[in-house]
Amino acid sequence: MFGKLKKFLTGLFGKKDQIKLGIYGPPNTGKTTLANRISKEFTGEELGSVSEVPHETREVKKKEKVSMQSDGKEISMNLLDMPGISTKVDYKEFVEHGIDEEEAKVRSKEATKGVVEAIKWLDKVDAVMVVFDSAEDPYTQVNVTILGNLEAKDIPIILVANKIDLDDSEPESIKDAFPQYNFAKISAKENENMGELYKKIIECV
Amino acid sequence: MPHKCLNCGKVLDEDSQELMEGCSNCGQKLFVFEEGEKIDDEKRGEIVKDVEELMESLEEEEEVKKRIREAMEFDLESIKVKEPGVYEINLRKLLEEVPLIVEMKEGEYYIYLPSAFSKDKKNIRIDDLV
Repeated sequence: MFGKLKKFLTGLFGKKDQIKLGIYGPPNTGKTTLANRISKEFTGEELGSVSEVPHETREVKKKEKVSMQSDGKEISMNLLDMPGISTKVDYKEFVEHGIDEEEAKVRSKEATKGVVEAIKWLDKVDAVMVVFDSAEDPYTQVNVTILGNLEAKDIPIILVANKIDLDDSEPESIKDAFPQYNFAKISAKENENMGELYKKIIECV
Repeated sequence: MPHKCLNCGKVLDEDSQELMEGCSNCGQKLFVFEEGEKIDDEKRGEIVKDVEELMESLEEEEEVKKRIREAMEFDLESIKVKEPGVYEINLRKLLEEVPLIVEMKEGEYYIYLPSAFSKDKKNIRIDDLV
């Protein structure tokens, strides 16, 4: 009842609900680079810091009111950059990147909390981009689990094969692994093929 | 109230014979009142015993904490704490919304039950929950 009323009032005053678009995927696939690229393109501002050390993003970063136009259609959304989802977080991995042991343990705990937070957000997002590193095997427990869950929740999915600028990238293997979903191959870092992704986003949401 | 020898500082009980005969340590007969409670051997023994008991109870508590932690780690299905800083995350269980248990510090567990939160509370962050 309240929902209907809200919808009616929203329609009456012409205020559009913001679509919540979540960026999901394992750590180090370039989610924040992608979020920054989109955010910079449509709002002029970046969203978060990028690092080669995994789990750089340990809490959900949000950019509100990102308006996107393509083929005469305009959407307005909240872009949500999620912490990387993994099945194991080990502080020793951070120590290998030169981080002090104590700090690495704190980072490890924060990263674990980040995974939980990202998963909790699955109930709130309207559409999801699942970001893959095109140079990595797409058939992982994390990817299969996330995709299966999104599908069960009936949330629109766009597979994003990122890092196509890498020599050993094989974006088609991602498409072959999960052919049933919307797909775009890009390099967020090198700004390659982003137009194709924007079209997919507008079509999808 | 106990007395203290003005010369050598020896503390005497208030009914000590030495107050009449002179300090057994230096022979002086000048004494001042000593403020505060004098701790005799018996009292000292009691204090030591209390502290030891307290220490034992703390050790026992640590032992209990350790046992609980081990047991919890066995039963934890969403997040296992292998060692400080090493976590194994069972995504499937997390996604199934089983009660989420996270060890925040040694022996301290926080349990998040999705059913306890209504959908109206949109701003709940994990920091509020754990």
